[in-house]
Amino acid sequence: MSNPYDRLSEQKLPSRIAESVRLEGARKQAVETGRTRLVVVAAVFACAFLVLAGRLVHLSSIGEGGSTSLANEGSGGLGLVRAEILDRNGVLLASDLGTASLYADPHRVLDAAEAANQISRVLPDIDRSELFSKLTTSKRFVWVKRHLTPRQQYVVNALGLPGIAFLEEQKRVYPQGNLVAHVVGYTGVDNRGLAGIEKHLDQRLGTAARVGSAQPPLRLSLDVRVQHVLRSQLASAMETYQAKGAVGIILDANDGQIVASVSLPDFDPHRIDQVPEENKFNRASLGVYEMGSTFKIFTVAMALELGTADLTDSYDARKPIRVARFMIRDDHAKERWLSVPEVFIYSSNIGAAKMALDVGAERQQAFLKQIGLLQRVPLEISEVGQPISPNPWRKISTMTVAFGYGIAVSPIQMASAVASLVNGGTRVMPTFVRSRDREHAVGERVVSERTSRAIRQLMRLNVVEGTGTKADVPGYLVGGKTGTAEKVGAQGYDRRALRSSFVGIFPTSAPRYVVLVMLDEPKGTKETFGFATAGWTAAPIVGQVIERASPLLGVQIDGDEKGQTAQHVGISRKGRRLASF
Amino acid sequence: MMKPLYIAAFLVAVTLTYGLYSMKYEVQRLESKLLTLHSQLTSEREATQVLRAEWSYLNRPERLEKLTLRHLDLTPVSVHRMAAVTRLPFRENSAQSELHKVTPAPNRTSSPNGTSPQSASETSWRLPQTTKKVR
Repeated sequence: MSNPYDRLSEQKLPSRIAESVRLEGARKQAVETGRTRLVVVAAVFACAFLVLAGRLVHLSSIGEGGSTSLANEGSGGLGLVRAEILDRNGVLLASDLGTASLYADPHRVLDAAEAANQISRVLPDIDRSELFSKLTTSKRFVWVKRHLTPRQQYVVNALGLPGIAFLEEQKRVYPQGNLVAHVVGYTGVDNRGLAGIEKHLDQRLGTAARVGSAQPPLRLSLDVRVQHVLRSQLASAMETYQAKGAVGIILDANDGQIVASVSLPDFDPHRIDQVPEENKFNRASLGVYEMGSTFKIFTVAMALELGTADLTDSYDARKPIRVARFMIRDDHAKERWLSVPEVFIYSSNIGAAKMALDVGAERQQAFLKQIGLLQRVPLEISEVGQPISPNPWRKISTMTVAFGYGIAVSPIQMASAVASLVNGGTRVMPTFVRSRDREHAVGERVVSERTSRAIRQLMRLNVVEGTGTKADVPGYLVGGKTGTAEKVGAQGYDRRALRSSFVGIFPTSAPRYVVLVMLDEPKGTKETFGFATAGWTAAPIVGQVIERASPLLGVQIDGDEKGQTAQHVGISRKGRRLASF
Repeated sequence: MMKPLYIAAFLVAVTLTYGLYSMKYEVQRLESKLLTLHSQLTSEREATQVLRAEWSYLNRPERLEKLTLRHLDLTPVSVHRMAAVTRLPFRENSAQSELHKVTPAPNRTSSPNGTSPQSASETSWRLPQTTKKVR
């Protein structure tokens, strides 16, 4: 009680208060109490009105906003929207469409038997008794049918049954159908990726609550036009040669982008439950195969790179090699000494085996590992096969791997290893996703420029003069190597069941693309004189594909006339020059 | 003396109340318009999505190929009908009337030191590779 106000009031007021108290007494006391209470009540009301006024200002100036956003989210329905998948030119490969799904609330269904009757009548694929048992459960929500067509939706809606309603859902559609099915993959009924890109990049494709807020589209390295060329040529070849399956890959030799990847037979991603398992199998990336003679590309590159052989060296291919209980012989036996180019173009197993022996098992393994043939390739699809290599790596393994037996790799792996050798010698990592920064990225060096050049010359020579003549397209400088592998049957290798492949590069002077084609068990026809080997079956397909696809790929005809003359390599034997072209 | 002040206060209160209410209704109107626009946007987006899918479906290379073969006189361009610009012939002397004289073009791959079209000055016209290469 020491503040100045108190002191002041004690000095001035006492006389007045004393007077009034003296004048009015106890009644005045009651009036005073009432007055104080009024002041308190007025203050409380004033506060309440101030709060109201403040809230009013707040509401009208800032607003709640909550109701609008809630209303917007409502139109998206239950389904999750995934990002679109496009090809390299922006053609739609996979997209989401809103569809209506039919559900029921059994508590609100009046007559379950009648409802089941009527619905099964308009939707014939629904079993009446099954639907009836669904409608009599104690749940509050049961699916009747997912993803109705607009017509079905109309008919069911017209029945006007209580307790039956629609829910908007998203359904994945693949406008290109079978064409890119193996790469893009497919999703389940809940729009979750189950195969291919859809499965491997499920997180990236994402799940958003409504249309418009989905992730940005994913652009693949595929080109549907080139893919179609490859697929149609392979399909017609499969029919001609009555093959069990076919694989085709077109890969950019410099940055590893896969422009086309076909595995036949394929499937329709919309009817995935009716597709046999065999068709879902991606032969291009999941299947691993003994590639046969195309492996001689690696053997020769290895020998040239490590300096154990020179283009002018030659090998004794007069007699088959006998190792333990195995016999290595040549299919097109020349029974004489063969120079390195001859070993390559006549596809001599004996020569290749001896070449690999000179290199040795350890260096051979290291080399194959360096070009990525002994480990799984990192790809953006979930179906990637693990290569099978000999373990332990014996002397006989060194010899058989030299011509592509005893080791199994996937076709995509094969194509990217060839690309790594011919593009100047830098490692190529295959990819399905288009990215611009890859175009300038240069991989680690695997062979020298000189070796790369020699391999290109040999591949060109093989097309001009060797087993791959049917792959040639005038003006595009095609190079390549055939590979005919016998499949493993019940009793070892089966001479009649072949796997014919051809790996081509073009243009040889500065390779832009690697084309790999493989046919599973082709049968010879009258036109091929009964031969089912790669030179007769797989090589022509590569030629046709290059002829049709190179304008689409932007490879100019006669693009490099000077390169053509530079590709000539001599076949020399024992220092004597035999031929030059 | 307090009267004008009361009147002024009353007028201000009336004006403010009117302003507040009209503002409120304006905001409500705009908000409902926004809502309609949002739902329109969503349905337009969905429609575009459907149309884009349909466009891609109708432009499948397989279908286009079938339609072209059925309705147009077009065939795939074969390699024999293509040539690089550098291989195009030059008109050396237009005064000469031998315009229709055609000299067989050199074989494309088997002549590494083949004469280039420009150097062949004795011919007035030289067609690009129209003849099929004989192997």
